[in-house]
Amino acid sequence: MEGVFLALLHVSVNAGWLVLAVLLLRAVFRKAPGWLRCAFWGMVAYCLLCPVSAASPWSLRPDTGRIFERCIQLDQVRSSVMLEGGRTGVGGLSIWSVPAVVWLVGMGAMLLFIFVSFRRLGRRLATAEFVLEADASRALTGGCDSNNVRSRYDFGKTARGFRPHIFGKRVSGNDERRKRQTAPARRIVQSRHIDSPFVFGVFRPLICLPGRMAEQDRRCAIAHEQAHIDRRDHWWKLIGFVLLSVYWFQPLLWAAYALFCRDIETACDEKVLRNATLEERRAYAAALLRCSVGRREPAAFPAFGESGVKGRIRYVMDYRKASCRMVAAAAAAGVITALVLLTDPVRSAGQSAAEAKVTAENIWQVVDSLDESGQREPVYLYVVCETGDWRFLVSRSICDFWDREVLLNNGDSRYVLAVPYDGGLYYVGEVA
Amino acid sequence: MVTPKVFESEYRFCLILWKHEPINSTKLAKICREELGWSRTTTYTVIRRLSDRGVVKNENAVVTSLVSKEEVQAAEMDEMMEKTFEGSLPAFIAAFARRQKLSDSEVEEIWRIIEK
Repeated sequence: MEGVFLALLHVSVNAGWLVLAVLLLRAVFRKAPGWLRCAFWGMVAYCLLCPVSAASPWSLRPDTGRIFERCIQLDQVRSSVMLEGGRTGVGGLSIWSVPAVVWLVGMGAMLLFIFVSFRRLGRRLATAEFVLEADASRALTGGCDSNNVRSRYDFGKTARGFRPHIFGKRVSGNDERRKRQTAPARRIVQSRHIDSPFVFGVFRPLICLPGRMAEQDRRCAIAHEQAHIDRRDHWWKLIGFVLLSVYWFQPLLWAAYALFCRDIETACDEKVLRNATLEERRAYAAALLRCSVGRREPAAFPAFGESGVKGRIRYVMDYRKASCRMVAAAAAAGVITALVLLTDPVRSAGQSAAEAKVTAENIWQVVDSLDESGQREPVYLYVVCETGDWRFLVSRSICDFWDREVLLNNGDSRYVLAVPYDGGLYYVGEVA
Repeated sequence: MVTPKVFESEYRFCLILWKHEPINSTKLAKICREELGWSRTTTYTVIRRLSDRGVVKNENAVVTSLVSKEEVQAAEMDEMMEKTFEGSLPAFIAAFARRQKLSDSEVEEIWRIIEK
């Protein structure tokens, strides 16, 4: 467990550099389209998902790998040795045990939050009903026949006993048949227990609308949610949150997720309004505002820069398609960033054991072991020193702890490790 | 006794019923036509379904409700639909817009941006 935690720590440090780079990219290429910005965040997700990365000569990553590898190795040795009272050396627990447990608890809490939230939302939607969409056009404005989009109780077309599909429960057989006969073109439900539109579900996404919505707003919301579904945002956001649950200890990732969500919304707005007229944009912005207005209270704290809604509406009203050159430049910068920060620096090969001179001065730490019954099992002596990290297997016939002298044999060279009785310093000399 | 579930448009129907009950079913069908746009057959079907579930009672063409509005609302509250959580959606849900506390002046400013 500690080893896994250390590995994740290492990945999160690498990802942290990448997040900083993406923040820089976003600041420089402010006019870049939303989908490109989402792609930048995709790079961060890739970094978090891949446990190993290739080495390349162009890498600019600060080489923290050695530190983590050393920690992981030490930890592995520790977890496989046992204590003999009095020796300096540690047993099953390491200094990483407590942080690892804290990490597990944090991750568990966040994953639990996902589950509980899904259940809660599902319960709220238990009395929701499908909405008929007689008007198949996806125009945002245009003559709105109030009979078309309004929810209508039509015996053949409502879903009774709706259950969230993500939990694998199906509606009763009758309902399935009815749904197949007259299935709505898009799965849209309405419920009085929700107050803003959203997409629910992972594999069979459902567009959920609140009870009281003006026709105009409803069209805009449906278009926006459909864009989410087409872009598979309901997956990306969830994957991102799961990644956040695993790497919750990296604070940069929280900022990354928040900005990622904002970029997703912007990208959806762009997708919906790609060829929209000014009138349509106005209607969309108005719908956005009406759906965001909660209680009319003065803001308790000053907002950090522009509030989400204001920024989005400003963007919607001022939207101009980014020039090809801008997109190409931003994409090129993204590729360079990936090359530079998604790869590890090349490391020169270490010295071979035969060349290393293990002397008293450069010994950093030795961990040794003896099993509880005093049996002389093959003993691993882990010697860490400046010239390299050597792991010696002490052959059984040679190991003799009563003399406090241990012969180390790593195949090529032989070293004598003299262990004083009080378990203090260790001396090493070469055997002739 | 467990309060039966009331679905979305049935709830709107029940609101009408609670306002006018006890009421003759024909008159009720007329009001439903005016306020909800339902045909007569639709209204009768709804009345039948709700009486099967034990929400309303239909005797001699007079419809009365068996559960009060407070009971229905209370039952739905019980199912962990606390009003306090109503405004907040989890961050991993793809939404149209999230509820935000906007002051009146901020709302005014945003309208100005839109109308410009």
